[in-house]
Amino acid sequence: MRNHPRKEDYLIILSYAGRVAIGLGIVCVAPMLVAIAEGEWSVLVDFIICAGACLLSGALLSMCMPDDAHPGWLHGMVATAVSWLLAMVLAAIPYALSGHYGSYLDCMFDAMSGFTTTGLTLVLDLDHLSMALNTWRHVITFVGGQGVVVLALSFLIDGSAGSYELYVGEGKDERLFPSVLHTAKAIWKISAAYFVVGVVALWVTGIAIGLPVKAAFYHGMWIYMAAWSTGGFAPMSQNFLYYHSAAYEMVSVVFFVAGSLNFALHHAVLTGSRREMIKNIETISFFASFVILFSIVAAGLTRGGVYPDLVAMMRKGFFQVISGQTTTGFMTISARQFALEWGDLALCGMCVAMMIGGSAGSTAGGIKGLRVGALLLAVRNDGRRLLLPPSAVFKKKMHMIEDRYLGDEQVRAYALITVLYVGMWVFATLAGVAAGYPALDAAFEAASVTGNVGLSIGVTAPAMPIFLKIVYILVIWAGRLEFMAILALGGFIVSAVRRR
Amino acid sequence: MYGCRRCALAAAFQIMGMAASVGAWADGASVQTVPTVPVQVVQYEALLEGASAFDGLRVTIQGEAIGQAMERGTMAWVNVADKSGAIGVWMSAEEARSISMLGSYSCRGDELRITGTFHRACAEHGGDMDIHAEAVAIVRAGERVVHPFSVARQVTAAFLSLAAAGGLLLLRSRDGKRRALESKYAKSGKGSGHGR
Repeated sequence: MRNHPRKEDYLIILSYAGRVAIGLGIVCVAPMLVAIAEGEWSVLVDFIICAGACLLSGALLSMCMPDDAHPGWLHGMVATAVSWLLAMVLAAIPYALSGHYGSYLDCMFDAMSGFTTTGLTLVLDLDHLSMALNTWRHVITFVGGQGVVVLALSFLIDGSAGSYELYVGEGKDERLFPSVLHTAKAIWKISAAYFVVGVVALWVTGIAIGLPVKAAFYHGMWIYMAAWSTGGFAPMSQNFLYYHSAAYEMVSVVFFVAGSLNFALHHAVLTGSRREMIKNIETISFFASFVILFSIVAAGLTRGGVYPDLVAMMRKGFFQVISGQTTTGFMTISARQFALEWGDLALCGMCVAMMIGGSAGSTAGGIKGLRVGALLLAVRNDGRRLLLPPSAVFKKKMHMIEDRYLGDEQVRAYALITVLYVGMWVFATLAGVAAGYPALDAAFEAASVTGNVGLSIGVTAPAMPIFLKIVYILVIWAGRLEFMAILALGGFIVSAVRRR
Repeated sequence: MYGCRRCALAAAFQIMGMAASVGAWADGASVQTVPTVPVQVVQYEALLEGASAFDGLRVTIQGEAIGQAMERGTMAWVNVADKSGAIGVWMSAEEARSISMLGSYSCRGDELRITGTFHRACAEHGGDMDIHAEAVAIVRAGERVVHPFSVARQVTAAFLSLAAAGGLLLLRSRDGKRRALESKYAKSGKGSGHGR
């Protein structure tokens, strides 16, 4: 791409976005099948409208690709950012037609929240939502977890021009195979394998806790999709508290912890490298930080006498912390209980857990265990350098699937993303405070939004100010794409405006 | 935004009203008719905001039974929603079975009036906020909900489907031409000009 974008540049970007729109149109088949199975005919029509809009706009945009196109790095990056925005606008159509939302902005908020696997929602009267629309909420979360662009790469883009840029732009930089196309397909295969196991496990558990067989199946499917993609949407307004079951909570924990682990780690373990689980810097970082943060939260809950006994404290504390750190966002307490009962220490622990997040190259959000682990290793290495003689030589490496050199440039890149995450959290917190919310509430919600978590302290609600909804949409979008694609889009817009 | 002061006042008011109604209910009764004694119904939001004050007290709530009744042995969970939120009610399986409709997309659930003990963090149920029901009454039966089938939407859906089919056919034809052009370039050894 040149310094000043030309018509060809716009056309290439729109063309890629069009492929993503076509992919989204195909995904509409899932809620359509549910609508047919459940006899929800008016909802079926809504999804035909959505699918038609996706496929038509997708086909028209895809035809924009010039014959002599030269897609490059920036095209891929900008196309990723634009694709997510287009997907948000299109996926909001069934929400708007359902009548369960106050405005189209609220619909887009929920769509972006779903795609980014955040799980915050502005839906009204969730308990009376149609089965098909509930399926849509969870399907877009599932698709978003693997990556909207990964979907397009897998099935609609030929995997050549610009595909690696699209893949990296979506916040994934781990390749399971040399080919990005094969990597994208492997991600879907891994997710599909877990899908079968997860849905069956939750279905059986659902029946065991008293759900009727059909309802247990739907709940199992929805909860699995939200758990594996660390999404946090649930079909009922009480979120996980609806089930009143430790067994259901524990089964879901297995799948959202699995979803928060790197796809490369899954691939390594599934292909026989089981020791990778205990050697990998991300798993070490994840479990070490979890133990520390859970201890802080437990101390806060115990000091405040929030729960009547150790079992209750462990169950509530454990679930909320693991849900927060994996950036899932399932809740077994009401949002306001965080603010009214949990106390400052436990809330601070939760904020840090949500900011750290899961693994890079997974469905999880946040700064990521890899970066936190690598930065701590860099601090240790610098400490060594100070203590040892100047001539001393020591290894600067970390293990992730293979031993990797942890050089200054790598550390700088990790630190940059971490600083951007923290900066965005500060920005979202200030926006919350400016909207009139207490500082700690605003900071908690900002951590949830920045890390694509979905736990809420009660700030996110249909009545919250419009500007805060827009800020949160932008923050969850930027957080999910890990800034690179957003910065590229920003640069593209600036260069386009300058031209004039 | 949260109206803490307002909620505290509301909670205090609810406690006073509730105290006046304590004793109006018979313990252990199963499904019964609505009592004639005026009962102060507590909203979910008031329970949530004043949870510490209500903890362990007998309260009365009224709302729609939603979702599914989940039987656990001789007892069952039924989630009950009023306009401000939903709470789990622990009741006998027999009482749960007497509920004919639970709220969903296709129906409005039975409206229940429940009196029972409120727990801010129930020790018996792993810290859940819940109500252990002592009396459950159906004050209004649920009903099927008919969703209108809009003709305008059907027409829009038909138009978009046809247009999308046409667009996809055009795209397929264009992609075919592009691929043919690329293979021609490849055979002539010039390359299509594509990057990676």
